[in-house]
Amino acid sequence: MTTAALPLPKPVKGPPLVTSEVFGMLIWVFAEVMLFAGFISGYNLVGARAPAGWWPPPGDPALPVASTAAASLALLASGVAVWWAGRPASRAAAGRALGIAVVLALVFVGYQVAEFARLLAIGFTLVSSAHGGFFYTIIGAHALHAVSAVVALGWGWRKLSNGTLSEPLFAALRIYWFFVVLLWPVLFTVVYL
Amino acid sequence: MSRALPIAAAVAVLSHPSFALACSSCMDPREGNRTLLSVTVFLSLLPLALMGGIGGWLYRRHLAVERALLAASPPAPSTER
Repeated sequence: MTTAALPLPKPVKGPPLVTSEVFGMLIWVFAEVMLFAGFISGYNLVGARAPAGWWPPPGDPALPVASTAAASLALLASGVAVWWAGRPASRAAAGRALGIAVVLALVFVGYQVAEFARLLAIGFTLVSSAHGGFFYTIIGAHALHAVSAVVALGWGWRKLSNGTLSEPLFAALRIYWFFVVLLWPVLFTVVYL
Repeated sequence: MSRALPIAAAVAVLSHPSFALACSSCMDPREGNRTLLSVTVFLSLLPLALMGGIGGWLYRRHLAVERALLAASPPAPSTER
């Protein structure tokens, strides 16, 4: 019994581990997580330095917890709809789910615009107190992300309807929206509660 | 001449040292630095956790792709005579 030298196996080129769209979005989300981690840390540090009962400052208006919590439900439902749209299903079903997600996201963004307008009208501004500065920086930054994500979702919805939305691009859009949705409960807990 | 100016600027800066309170919350005795410590730990560990998460996910993807390729490849020819 003899054995011949085994030929070296040819390298097999398989599918990529991760597409460029998804990997790029992961790096972007990584940076965004660190940005908001810095915001939250600064907020907690300043709050910890304040004397007992002085954070938030007594003169600042109470933040609308109940109505914001209700709007948060729309945002969370939007996240569920985007998750649903990403499941294997027909293009029409995915388009419907994505359309619902866009509408729910618009509800949340619209509520935030109204809330900001109301708070600004009663004198709670970016420079009225350190709390106001943190509020508009943190919640405003999230709102800007939500607006950009809604635009991206709407663009993705149109491409999906046309049949030109590629799966990697859709996956990247989903990752961004999940980031915006999952970040919100953390910010709500830190800033509002 | 092009080097002289930055060197002169560096000498001017270094010859006039003074305290700079870079972090207004670092030396507050009221908080006992507990919040600062927890924030430092949080901000130090978060990027490591994120990198570990992405790395772990990529490794699991790699294993899954490798398993799929092995399952799809034809069996190696026998070398026994």
